[in-house]
Amino acid sequence: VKRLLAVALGVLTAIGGFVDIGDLVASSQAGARFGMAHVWVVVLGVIGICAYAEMSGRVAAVSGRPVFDLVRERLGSRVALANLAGSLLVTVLTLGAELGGVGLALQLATSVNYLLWVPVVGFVLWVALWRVKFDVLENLFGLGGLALVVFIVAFFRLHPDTATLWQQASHPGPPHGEDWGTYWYYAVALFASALTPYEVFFFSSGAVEERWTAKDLSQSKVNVFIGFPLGGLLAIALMATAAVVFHPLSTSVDSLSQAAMPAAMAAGKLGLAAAILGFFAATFGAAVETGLSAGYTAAQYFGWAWGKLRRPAEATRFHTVVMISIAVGVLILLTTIDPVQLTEYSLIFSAVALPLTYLPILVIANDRTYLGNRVNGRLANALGMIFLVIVLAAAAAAVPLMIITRAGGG
Amino acid sequence: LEAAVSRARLLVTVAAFAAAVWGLLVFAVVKPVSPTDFRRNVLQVATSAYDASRTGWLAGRQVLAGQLFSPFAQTAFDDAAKTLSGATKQFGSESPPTAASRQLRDALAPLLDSAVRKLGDASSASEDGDDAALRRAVDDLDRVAGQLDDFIEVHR
Repeated sequence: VKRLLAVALGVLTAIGGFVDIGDLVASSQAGARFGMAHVWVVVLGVIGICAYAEMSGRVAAVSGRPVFDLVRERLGSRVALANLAGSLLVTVLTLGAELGGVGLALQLATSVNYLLWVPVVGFVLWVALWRVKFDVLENLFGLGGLALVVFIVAFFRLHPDTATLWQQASHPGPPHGEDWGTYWYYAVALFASALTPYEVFFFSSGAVEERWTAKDLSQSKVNVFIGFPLGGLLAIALMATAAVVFHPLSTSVDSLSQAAMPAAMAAGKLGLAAAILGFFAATFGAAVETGLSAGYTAAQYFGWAWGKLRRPAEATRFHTVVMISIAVGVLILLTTIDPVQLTEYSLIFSAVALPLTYLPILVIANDRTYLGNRVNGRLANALGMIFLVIVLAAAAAAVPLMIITRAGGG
Repeated sequence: LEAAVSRARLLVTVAAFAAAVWGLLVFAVVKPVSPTDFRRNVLQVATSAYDASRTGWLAGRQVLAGQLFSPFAQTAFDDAAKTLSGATKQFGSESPPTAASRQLRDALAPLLDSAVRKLGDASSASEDGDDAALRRAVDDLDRVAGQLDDFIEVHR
């Protein structure tokens, strides 16, 4: 029973922890402007993150070392440095976006401007990463993120025209008034929101922190192959509710208050409270993950002592990088850049950095020196290669699409 | 020596690429506004104003239906007002290059003005708990959103 409970908890936290500010913003925006025409991108992104998260979990569990640690050893310091520069930049940018998301969620509940919340949230995050146990953070915010299930409930309570939604989903493309450039811009953003680089670094480093071994591989697979797709379902629910409420009105979604509106329309104040709680937990949980990921990547590249489970005095430089990353995230927001806009930029730059993250994972997952007979099978390699091609295409297209479409403005 | 030469070549290539990108960016910023650019800008402004009006309308209706709590409603109105204020700023940032562009500007200006006023009315009425005034403002926002939608359809 204890084992079953642990598995269930792992799956539930994987579901709740899947959604972050990128998914909240990109899914709602895409649903409002394009209906369900991008649902295939979410499905594709979920398959991609499942394939690569499984690989990085396996690498960590079998070798006992996180992916980034092995990247430097296996591919040399130059490739690892490019990887570090790209992923650290994107991770800190994403951390800023997540902190902004927490501030916006608090603003929805209190009407106090998010900028006043941001320094407080940054401080609380730093204290939480310093003092609170790893599994407490993971379970608390993972389970809190499950409140986003309210969007699945809202979808059914809004009595959607399923025939129209199916028509949109089965005929991908821009509707009247939109163009292909903008359609692909949002496709790249949605794809990047599912495959953000920090997720695999956090996943593999977390596995090492929790001392996974080859015996834990089945638990890892259950978390990935059940938790992530169900988490993806939450992202689809956000898209679907925006498609039901905003798309028929031809109205864009540019704020978190708009993203929460369908929950209020369908389930009243209780639904709204659940949506805000879900936003808060999802963004704070992701801020925990991005903050730690920044520390993980830097410490693992430079060979410093690292780990949330180590006392700050034993991993000083790791904790310093985490602290500086949080401070940078807060400072980015204090320039008064709109957090939603920051999220859009972080997604596009994530897309650019994706190959730097995913190519090394594929290489290491095929290396018998580290994995013995647990290297990738044919299916994992086929999926890995297919997604590598997609990731390269998304990386090449991201910035040109951003310029051509004026960041989705059309 | 060979390594130093190839490193210098790489540096020159990177510098040339950066200069070209910088030059393109400078050109994009300083080039004069064409009628097409102006029209695109006006349509973006109208679309943002439409989004804000429609969002204000939606939020107002939900307040009247008792579906929102007060801090959320206020934030929703503030977000819509922020979108509208961005649109107004963008509207004033470019001068119309031709007579036709001026006509376009003059057609949108009153709609923008009306959207700003009605959204402000709705926000105040919601904050004061004045349902009758909120209902009026919501109806007005619906009308303005409709007019903005027509404007976008005609000039797209």
